[in-house]
Amino acid sequence: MQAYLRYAPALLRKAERILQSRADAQDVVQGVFVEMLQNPPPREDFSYLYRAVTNRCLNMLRDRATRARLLREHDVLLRGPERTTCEQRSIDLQLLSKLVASLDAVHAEVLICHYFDDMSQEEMANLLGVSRKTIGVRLARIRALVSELVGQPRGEA
Amino acid sequence: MTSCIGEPVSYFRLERYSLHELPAEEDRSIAAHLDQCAVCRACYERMQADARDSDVALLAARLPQLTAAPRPRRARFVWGASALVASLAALLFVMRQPAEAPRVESHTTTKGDGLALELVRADAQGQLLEPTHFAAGDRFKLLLTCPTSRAGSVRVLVFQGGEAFEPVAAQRIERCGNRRALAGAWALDGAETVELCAVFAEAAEDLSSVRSVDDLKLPRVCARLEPVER
Repeated sequence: MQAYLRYAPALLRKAERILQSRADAQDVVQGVFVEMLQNPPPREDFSYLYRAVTNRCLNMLRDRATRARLLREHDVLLRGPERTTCEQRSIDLQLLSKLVASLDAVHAEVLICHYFDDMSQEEMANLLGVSRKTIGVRLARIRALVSELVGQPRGEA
Repeated sequence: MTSCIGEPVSYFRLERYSLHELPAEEDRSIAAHLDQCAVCRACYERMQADARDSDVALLAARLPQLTAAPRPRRARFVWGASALVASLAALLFVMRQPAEAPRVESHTTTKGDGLALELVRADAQGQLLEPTHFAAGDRFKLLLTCPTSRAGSVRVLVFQGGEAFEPVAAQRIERCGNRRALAGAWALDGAETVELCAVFAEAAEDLSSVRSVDDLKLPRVCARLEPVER
């Protein structure tokens, strides 16, 4: 469990940025490590844990009851500084929950990597083990859905 | 939303930079970006500040709270995983502290030979205490800071009453950094003053003849702990 001591702070920050709830972020990170005890994964590096946290956060957001509670109780300060990306689009928890409800798992993971982790397409391709072209296609689908839900983002008319 | 001077350094890379896990070239490129970009630097500084506040041992301490006082909405998860959580807690240095309790200053840093040692002390109830003293059964954990250019083996030595012992196994650190938590926690007892040292060696060294701090020829950092009655 050296991995816990080493990586838990970073993973908590990530989960808090997505869920905007300290308690739920702790549950997510804890859940990842409890699962690792049950089913030791082939690797315990930071990349693996980072993705595991993403997927657990998405599972929480897919759960209707949890989603409703997070929307009621979230703390926007835990979202952290948002930096300009090419879309100039901020995804708040309300919009995130709508997007997650409409996207499949692979698109939802790209959504988090791009809008919450500020990753470049190349970085996402490396982390997720797919081509940059695939990332581009998935991002296009996400942007289309964002536009459908909230209108055209600035700079993308 | 604020503007980065170019492509923002992702949180993933910033975290890996902070953990010293990036190749040297990427490390340098991020350092250069942070020098130039106030926005990304602010993100990094926020991360660093958070790391200082949320000490890893205290993060581990949050684990048993779910088993001790499960919230109704998570009851199923809590009971389903309680045994595992307990196992995890036992593996880690677990200290329980109510979230609403005021933070107890329980860290003392000592420095020497380019190393810094920080101790975390908790009693059997998980209460954090000043690590300048110990009572029978108190448990300790050690965080070591060493220059990033160094790598080697770290040994923890406890000197008490003319005897020396190693409470945890030697640990290999491939790359030093800030406040690296050494694996394992240990209890102290006895009526004599304890001198506790973290000894840094490039390779495995035979320390069997060492009986006091003065016998140590390797880079080390030591802290003195006085016994107290509870």
